[in-house]
Amino acid sequence: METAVLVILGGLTLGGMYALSAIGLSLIWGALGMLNMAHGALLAIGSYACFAIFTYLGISLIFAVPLAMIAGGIVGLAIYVVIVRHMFRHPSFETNIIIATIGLAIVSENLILRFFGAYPYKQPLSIQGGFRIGEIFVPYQNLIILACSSVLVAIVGVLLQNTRMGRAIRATAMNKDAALLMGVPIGRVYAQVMVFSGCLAAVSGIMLSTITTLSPTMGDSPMIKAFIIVAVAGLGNVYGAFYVAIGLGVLEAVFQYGIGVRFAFPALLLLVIVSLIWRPYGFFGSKTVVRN
Amino acid sequence: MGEAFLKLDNIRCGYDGQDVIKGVSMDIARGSVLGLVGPNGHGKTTILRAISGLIKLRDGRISLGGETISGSSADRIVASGIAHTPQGDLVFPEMTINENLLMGAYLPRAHAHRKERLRYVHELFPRLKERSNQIASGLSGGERRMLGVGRSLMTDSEVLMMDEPSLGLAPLIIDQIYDVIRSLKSEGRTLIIVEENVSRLTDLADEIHLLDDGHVIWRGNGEELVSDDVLMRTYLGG
Repeated sequence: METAVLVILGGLTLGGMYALSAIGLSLIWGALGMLNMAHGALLAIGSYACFAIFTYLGISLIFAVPLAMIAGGIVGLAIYVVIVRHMFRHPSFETNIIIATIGLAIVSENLILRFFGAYPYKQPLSIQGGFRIGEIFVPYQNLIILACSSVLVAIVGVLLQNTRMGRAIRATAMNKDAALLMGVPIGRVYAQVMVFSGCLAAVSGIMLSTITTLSPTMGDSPMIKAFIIVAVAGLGNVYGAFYVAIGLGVLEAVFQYGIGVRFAFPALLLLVIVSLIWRPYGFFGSKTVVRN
Repeated sequence: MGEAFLKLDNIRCGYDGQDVIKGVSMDIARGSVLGLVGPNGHGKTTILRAISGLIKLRDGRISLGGETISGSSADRIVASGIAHTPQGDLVFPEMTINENLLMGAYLPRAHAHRKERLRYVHELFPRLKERSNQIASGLSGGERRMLGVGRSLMTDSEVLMMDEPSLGLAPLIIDQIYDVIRSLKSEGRTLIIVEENVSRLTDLADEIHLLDDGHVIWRGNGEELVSDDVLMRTYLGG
């Protein structure tokens, strides 16, 4: 019983982190029809920014986390202004942007390596200890990650559902021409989505680094998982991405416990392949996604 | 017709390097109704798309109230006071009817009066009020058309362009849509209506333009058009 609770708690923690990352990716795909291969780099940038702001600038963690999120947002905006905006109208955008963002991710990882070295720093945000419920030890860190990701996902949901900006983002994702005809400045919406996604990636990276260590390539594996989540949910479906992230997080934890850490991810991939053969457009996606 | 409010001056535009509109000029007076008719694929929809900025002009100029709007982005053209209900309605399929309508009031000018505008649209189309929380993808063709027109009305624009408002609808629904269009005319809105069914425009449009191969080949009123057997047989299948 205790083991099952711990495995599920671990899975929910993983799922919460994946959800933030996957929602950012899903928003970008939905609005811009773009696979952002630099998303993993944004995770690393966010976590290193938090580390640097606290360690080198001596700013309290209460401010360091939001500042790191802002840094992620600024990098997201820079990606839009410097790269995406100029490529967007080209018919080969979908392919070109994959190559461009892979390049960007490599440059960014090397810049982090250049400035911080390869030492696996510990994120100062890690909170040790926990509490017991009966025989079950519940680490504070897991609960904080779970609470933060739940709150952030809820905020994203409210923003998308109930605000003028959120409706404009959803409208742009559903039909760009129709959004334009409602007076939505879609260039601004794209920029907002990139900022939004950068902020979410940064906070996801910070959370991840609290249970592992900092490294320039720390975002690569979560990014691949986020892509898997987005594909299984259905490209561009933000709410689906959240549910699938939580589900896959729990499944990964169960596999890790059942067949070992080494085989958990391959087993998860196998399951994903089968599910995509069964539902190629994802569990929450529509049958075709056309970029217009 | 009176002094031009919306003016198209020798415009050329099209798709993939081909001109679909090959030098069209139009003067549309404030508060008037212009009908665009002609065979399929000869540029009626393209003219509306050019006015609303969805496609760029290769040549010529479009102005609204003396201000040049051609070259502006579509969202700025909407902000200048032109609403476009496109063919196929382009509703947002995963939004509710109310969310779709609120998207029509996206611009600050309309957003400030969104509650009054929503009441107004609900009065015109009670069906939209009854189903306000229904997802748009589940609507019938007639309901989608009502939503498309209602959403344009939410923009509170002075000029309304409607592309084939009767296409594919049952006669009863068409009557309902045209009742609303008539009430918009009586409010003094400037309307441009693309229509296959000329008889719907004869008593409504102040002027009708017949398009063929990207040119306006005839201008006049509805009665003149329907009484011209040659034009009706050659271009309008009458």
